[in-house]
Amino acid sequence: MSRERQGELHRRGLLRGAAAAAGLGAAAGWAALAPPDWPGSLKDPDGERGKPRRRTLSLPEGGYAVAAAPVPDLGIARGRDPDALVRAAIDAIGGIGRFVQRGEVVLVKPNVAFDRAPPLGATTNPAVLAALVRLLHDAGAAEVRVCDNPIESPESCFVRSGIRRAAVDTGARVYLPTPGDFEELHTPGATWIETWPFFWRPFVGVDRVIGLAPVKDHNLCRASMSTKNWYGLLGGRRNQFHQDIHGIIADLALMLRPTLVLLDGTRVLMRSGPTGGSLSDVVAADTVVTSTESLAADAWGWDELRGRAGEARPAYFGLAAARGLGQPDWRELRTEEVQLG
Amino acid sequence: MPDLDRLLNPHPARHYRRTYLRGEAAAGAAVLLVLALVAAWVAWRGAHPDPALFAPAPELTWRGPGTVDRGPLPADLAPAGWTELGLAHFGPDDLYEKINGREGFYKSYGFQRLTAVRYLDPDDETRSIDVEAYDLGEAANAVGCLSAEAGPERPPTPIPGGLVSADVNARFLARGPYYLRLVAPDAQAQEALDHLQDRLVAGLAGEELPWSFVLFASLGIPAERLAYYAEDAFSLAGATRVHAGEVDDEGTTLFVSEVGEGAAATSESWLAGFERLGDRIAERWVQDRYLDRVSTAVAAGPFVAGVYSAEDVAQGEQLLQRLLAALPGETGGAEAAPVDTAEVYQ
Repeated sequence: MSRERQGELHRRGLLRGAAAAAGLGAAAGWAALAPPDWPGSLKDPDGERGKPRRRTLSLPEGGYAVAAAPVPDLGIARGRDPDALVRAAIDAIGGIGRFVQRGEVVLVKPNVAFDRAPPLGATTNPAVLAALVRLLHDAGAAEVRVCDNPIESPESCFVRSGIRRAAVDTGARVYLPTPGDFEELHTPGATWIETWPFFWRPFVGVDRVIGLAPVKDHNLCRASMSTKNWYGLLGGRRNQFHQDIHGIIADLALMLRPTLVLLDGTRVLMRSGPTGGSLSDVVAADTVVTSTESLAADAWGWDELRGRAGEARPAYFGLAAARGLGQPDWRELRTEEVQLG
Repeated sequence: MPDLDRLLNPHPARHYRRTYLRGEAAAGAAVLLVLALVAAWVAWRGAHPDPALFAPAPELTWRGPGTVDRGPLPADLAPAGWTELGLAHFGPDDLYEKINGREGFYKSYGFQRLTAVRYLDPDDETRSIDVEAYDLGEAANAVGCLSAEAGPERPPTPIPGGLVSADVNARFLARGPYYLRLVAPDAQAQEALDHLQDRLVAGLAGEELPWSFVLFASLGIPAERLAYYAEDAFSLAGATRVHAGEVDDEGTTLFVSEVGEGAAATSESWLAGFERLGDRIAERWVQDRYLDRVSTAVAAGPFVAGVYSAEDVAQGEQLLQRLLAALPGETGGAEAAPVDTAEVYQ
């Protein structure tokens, strides 16, 4: 009795096992042989489906901009003390409370493009960065991040430019780029960078983005300021964009709508940019400009800090304005100038 | 009916045979023997490694500092006590990795190779001097590059075999085909900069400055107002190897290029280039419709000479005649008449 029962159970098990094996075989056959566009198919005749796919990300719609307010569009502060300069320039367009709320994570993007000492004017003045980070902490920022993707060795650029020391000493967190930090960013409507590698890791969880660019001569686009500064967030073989430098800068204006930009005009590299090298090419302009519109800040910098008022502006101004990305005619905007000390 | 207990064996470790065939035992023994031989061979080989593994590898052998590719930089370049590091070379394909955004400037002067190195201050390692040696292929390119980068604040000065432009924190030299940049962060490194300049001048062969220095000196134009355009002079496509001397602060410029047999056709094409932005107002003069200045280009033997951006035709014609009169004779050829330019520019 017991043996018969045992045999009966084995027969059922055999049938079940055979059915399961047949089912698995049929499923495997379907997955392997069904045409690629059929449901459940894993067929990969040319190997394309097997390639690793990078995810494509997008920045928030509307960027990181704050709501418009009945305050001046451009703040201009002149003086020697970086802390007072930064505070006065931001106060002129509504104060830091307009841009940063308590508990927010703020990303600051200085220009650390070159392995140069601060006095040479090829990078953001570290004293201005330190002043900005202190102000952000005073405003209650939960975390301040500082990042850039230099072409030269990032470690060396951050150290020699003084940016690393300024950031660390003021409690900011420095993000140096590594290959794993880049993701494909989708920028609808961009000519050159509709989908392009972007320095993404520092943007994870960020609430506000602030640009802090120096004002300097540029061999290709004539001036490197706030809008060009976003170039330092791109990865890949970005040097190819030099073939259409104004086109890529107009794309950068489309790519990132910042919370705020500060134009660091404490030192202006007037010649031999963007690398510089000679102190006689650097002018101490002791000015900081603020705006929510990078194009307006750049236009003021071109006219007043580069001293090129009356000359035709670099072509990217027109390209970006034609896309509705800002107002380069800063004289049509409300400005507030503050003279300190 | 088959025994299903054997078909779907629930006890795979259970023995169902009490004995094995001799052949099976022999095959097993053979496999064990082969494995033992392999193990013995591995052990023996480990104890008697191939001597070639320990032979010197020429490509990995330290061959002393003289064999390091230093480009044009002398081996004993470092100032006393300063530490050299970061010797690197860049070619046309990767120059952007060093000076992204400005590589086109050097390429317009015939860039071939950059050798870069850094010296750390023994008293403060956060301070350093960068030395960059751009090989631009020929002396005229190096002189032109230096003239273009040197501004009115630091005009270039002729030295035997080259040019130098000095700033409080930097030195810029044209030496043979090399354009050299020595950049310190501040004005506190004069002694080290002096040392580097002296060593580079001593270690690199100089060349006579381009003949145009003598030409323009004879017209009273100082060295700091001279320029050399390897290409696209005055934004004219095809205007290459142009020597220029600025006459005044208004931008009035004399220029000359040694073209050879095609000088007449070249002068016509340059004149046509001026006409794209202006109107012909005299037989060979074009008035810029935006700047209201006049320019011309004429053929003179193997040269194309001219005046760019003169105030009016009268001033331009006067300058042009002086330039034409000063040009080297056709038979001698400018390149064949080197002159001690350092003597001219005392």
